[in-house]
Amino acid sequence: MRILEAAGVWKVYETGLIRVEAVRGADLAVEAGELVAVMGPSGSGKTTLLSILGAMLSPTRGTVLVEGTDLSRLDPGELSTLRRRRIGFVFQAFNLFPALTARQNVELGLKLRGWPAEDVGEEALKSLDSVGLAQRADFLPADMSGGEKQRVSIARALAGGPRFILADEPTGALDARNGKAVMDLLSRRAREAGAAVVVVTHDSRIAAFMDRVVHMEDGRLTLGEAGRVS
Amino acid sequence: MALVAVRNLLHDKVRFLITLGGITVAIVLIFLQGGMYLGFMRNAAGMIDRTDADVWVVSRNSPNFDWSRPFPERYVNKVRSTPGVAEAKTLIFGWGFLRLPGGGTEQVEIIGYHPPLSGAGTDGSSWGEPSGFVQGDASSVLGGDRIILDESGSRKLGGLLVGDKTEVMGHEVRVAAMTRGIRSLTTAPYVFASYPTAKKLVSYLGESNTVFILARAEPGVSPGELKRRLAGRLPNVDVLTRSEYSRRTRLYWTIQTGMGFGFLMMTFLAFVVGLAIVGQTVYAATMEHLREYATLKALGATDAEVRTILWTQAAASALLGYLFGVMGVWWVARGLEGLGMPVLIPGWLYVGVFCIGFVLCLGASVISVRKALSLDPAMVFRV
Repeated sequence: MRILEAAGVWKVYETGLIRVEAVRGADLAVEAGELVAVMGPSGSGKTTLLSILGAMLSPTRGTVLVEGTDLSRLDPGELSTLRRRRIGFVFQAFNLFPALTARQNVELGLKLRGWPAEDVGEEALKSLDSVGLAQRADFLPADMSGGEKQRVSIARALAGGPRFILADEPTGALDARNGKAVMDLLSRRAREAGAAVVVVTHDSRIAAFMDRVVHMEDGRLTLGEAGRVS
Repeated sequence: MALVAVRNLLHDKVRFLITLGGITVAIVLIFLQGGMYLGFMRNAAGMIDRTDADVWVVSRNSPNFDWSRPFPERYVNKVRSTPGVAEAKTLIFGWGFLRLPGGGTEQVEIIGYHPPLSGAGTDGSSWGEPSGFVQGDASSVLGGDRIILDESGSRKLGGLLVGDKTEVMGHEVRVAAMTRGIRSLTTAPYVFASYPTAKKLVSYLGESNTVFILARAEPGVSPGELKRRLAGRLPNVDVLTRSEYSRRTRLYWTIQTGMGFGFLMMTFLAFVVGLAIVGQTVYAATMEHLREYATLKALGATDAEVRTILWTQAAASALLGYLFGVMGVWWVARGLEGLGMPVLIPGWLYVGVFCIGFVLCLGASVISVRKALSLDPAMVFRV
């Protein structure tokens, strides 16, 4: 089942006489259970593409379908609803809420997905358990290591079973050992959940965990070498 | 979202305490300004409000209780003979000087009333008698040359106690009783005496004059109707219902003297200072948490949910600041009362200041809310 389909996506910024083509005709399709890495140097347009695929930015041209829903037909409120219900986000800087415990961070994600209040506690613990952090559920992010924080972030992204996961440099703030552990976890959990995963990164080691790697340069996506499924 | 709001609020304890401090100070200031104004007004119209008279006959254009002038005492007969009048009594008022025990004099406001023949009705205060006795009663002035003082003025009058002798306007008098809680708006303490004694003390008003006539209506006759009837028979004086005269007195002190404007300005300034402190701290807190708000929006939180967080924080701050403010004002008001400053905080003022506190906190959050709502959720991808 195709979860994501982006076709002919352009994003052009125009300020006075300056015209920047951040994304130029990107095509990308990702099936359920498939992991795709988008790699490229800084300034290649990865972040812009990520924002478009994450329903946070409208493309200048082209279409993006998430589970068959054309994002261009949705108003801002509907785009918010789509993000909360169907997309899980993993961020480079984890973006956990420092005042909330690990469990409360995951619960917040579930509440946003519309889970009933009486179920979120159990589901959040289950999700934390799946990333090996059930024992740390009541710890604040400040009391956790970088690797643990990213695992909480993954637990939050996967909680509630979204079919589409967008990860932005998930290993960017981690050392090699923690980076590998986090990618191992993300790929394993995403496959178990049958979610389509798009990882934007410039870390070539991530390729080993991906089904497919595409390269981005000067706003264009080009097919890269196939990754090794771990 | 309420959990995020409260946890975020408590996460930075120093900032939260600064915010609470700002709100508390503003609340205390607003309470005090309102309480002092009401306290002054209570004192200003206290002599009028304490009576049970339905109608007051006062000199023409008498602006307030303390500035009333004399008029012929015989008018009381016209009042008594007016249909619908159940009872009417004269009340005299004049300014005088009291000799202090250590030498020197102090200005006082002398009130002459008709004391009951026994201790009955000592706390009724229906015709201008003092009330709230700590020693003696309203009939203690019977027998002549006796006066009643209030504790609040006793210190100013050299610590005179019951039984002490002194002079008022050159006449020797003895302190026969002491009350608590009767203060004038002016700085001059009240001195109560029987009507004949008071007339002697303020003889400059004229032997055949009085200052007020108080009338009570018969059952079935409204104060307004009684006022209309009396006004038709007494052309050279003002006839006012008790509430009208009380209002006139309060308005005089509020508007004519600028006192009301002063209190209003101070209240407004307290509000503005509170708004500035709370607004600054809330805005700084919002700026510090911008990434969290962007994350929330990226995760799909609606504008209403982001707004809820900030409003909840504002409301929680308002509530706590208000509670601390109430505790603070209780202590400050006690201190001010001890210094002779009247502070009156009725129930509705608690409600009013609570609402003002809420408006203050919500108003202080407006800029923060706008800032959070205008965030681009895609900023979460920019490290």
